[in-house]
Amino acid sequence: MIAEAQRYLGRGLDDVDAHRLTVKRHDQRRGLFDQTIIAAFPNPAVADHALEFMRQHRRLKPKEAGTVTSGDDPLLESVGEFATDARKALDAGHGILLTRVDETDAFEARELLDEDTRSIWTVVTPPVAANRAR
Amino acid sequence: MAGAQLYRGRAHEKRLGFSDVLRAIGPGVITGGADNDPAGIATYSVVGATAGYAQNWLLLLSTPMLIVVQQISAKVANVTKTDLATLLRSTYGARVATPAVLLMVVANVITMGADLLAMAAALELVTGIRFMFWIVPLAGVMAYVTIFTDYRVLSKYLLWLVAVFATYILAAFLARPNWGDVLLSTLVPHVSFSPAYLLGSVALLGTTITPYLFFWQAAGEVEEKRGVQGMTQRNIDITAGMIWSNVTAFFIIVSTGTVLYAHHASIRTAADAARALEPFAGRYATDLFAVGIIGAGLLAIPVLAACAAFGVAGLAGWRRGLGRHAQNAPQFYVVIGLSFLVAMELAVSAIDPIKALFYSQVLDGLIAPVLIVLMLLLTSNRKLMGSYVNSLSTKVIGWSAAGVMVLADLATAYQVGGHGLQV
Repeated sequence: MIAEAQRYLGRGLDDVDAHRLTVKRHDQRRGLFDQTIIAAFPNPAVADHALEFMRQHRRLKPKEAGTVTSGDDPLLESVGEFATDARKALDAGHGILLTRVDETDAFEARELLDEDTRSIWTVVTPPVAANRAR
Repeated sequence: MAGAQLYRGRAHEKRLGFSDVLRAIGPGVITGGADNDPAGIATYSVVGATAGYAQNWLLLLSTPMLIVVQQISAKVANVTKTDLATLLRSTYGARVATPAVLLMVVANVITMGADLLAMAAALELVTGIRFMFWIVPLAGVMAYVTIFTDYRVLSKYLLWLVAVFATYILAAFLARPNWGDVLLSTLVPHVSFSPAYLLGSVALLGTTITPYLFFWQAAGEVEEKRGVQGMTQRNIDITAGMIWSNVTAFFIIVSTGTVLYAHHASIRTAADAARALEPFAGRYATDLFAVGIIGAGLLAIPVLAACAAFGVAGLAGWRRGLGRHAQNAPQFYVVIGLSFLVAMELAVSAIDPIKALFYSQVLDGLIAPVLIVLMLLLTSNRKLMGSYVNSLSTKVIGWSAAGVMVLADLATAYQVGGHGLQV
């Protein structure tokens, strides 16, 4: 990976800083649990941009993702009591983004929506067994 | 239905063998080590010197409380995938989250100042150079390390310096206390309503069940991206770390109680506190104490600064994390830098290191119950936690922790109001 990155030096890359590169032992199994992340944005257009931003993420592979435009959207059925918060935000003219991810990806997905796309608020539903998530 | 969900939700967690339990122990011991910062060492020493073993029962009582509070801090982060400040803001709004987090930030910065003073006093003990000249270089080096290096990696090495405090265990045995008295005072509660005893109780509880540790535990879970799998191992690790932390505290009180309280000696300087190690280290007690205090400070001060920054960044929604480069989370690191500046100013202005250390822990004891109550409400909320909601035993122990601390706070406020503030 480092050698591959170094081949791009001078072609858009200035340097390769690999001193933080660590080999992580993956003791968490994928496919056990799912979590749904709900993020509110100032308006639907910003929510669409955030969705596009998330889809371009290299490692994050949402199982399901979309923006919600009305309180009757079937996507809201999967988020339990958080649907009420989402509907209130929609009534206030905010844009809502929903994404269902594997539990092992949920930290990264929340971080992306919370910190990088600067959502107004972001919440995560509790983990549920992956085969029961929908 | 809830029971069925619980069963399905945790069906992946297998029964653990002895080797699994040993493998699980690690980061929790580091957190437990960080719990015994210079302010903690000073507080336990002052408590031992002023009340002997009389408050040992509080340590025993606080051990399960500390374990439960740390476990719920880890659990809430692993289920909701975020740190405490962000969660408080998104659940209760800025009106509740801002004062709760800012109180923690204030307590942290004051504790940082007191810890800096303690480290400087320890360096004065071994070099003879006035402590005042050590404060700025110490703060500068630690700020640099926290901002520009990977502190979480470094802390694993710093922990070995704190292991020096394990010598209190040997010192306590060599001081030949009356073990019958020690056992009795540990198992049978002894309550006094003197202001000094009550202040000592608040400080002891505040330094044991300390607010910054809740934030550090939760932030650590998020940075390591641990998740809900393997939560049983995590709880074993936390339990081992917190027991180790309180065992060390127990022996500090026993050795200071035997060496200082029994001879009616009080602690006014770092050199007085170091005398408790004399039964083990003889004339090297001062050097050993200094190494331990410096190690504890190097371990704890960056943690305190980082927790303050996690709190403020969580409230503001800024990028945060010690794993990020400074340019990727500039505001987070600016808060760390400011915390060091203010702490340095406090350390330079303060004149009595031991009192500064002790009163910073009293402040922690006043703030901790507020945060414990908020965390208990968060982790008992089925909407947020689903099947990971608190069990009955967790609720009982958690609410008891908050209750005991509130009682100690109220009794202290009443007595200090009537008799004035004296340690």
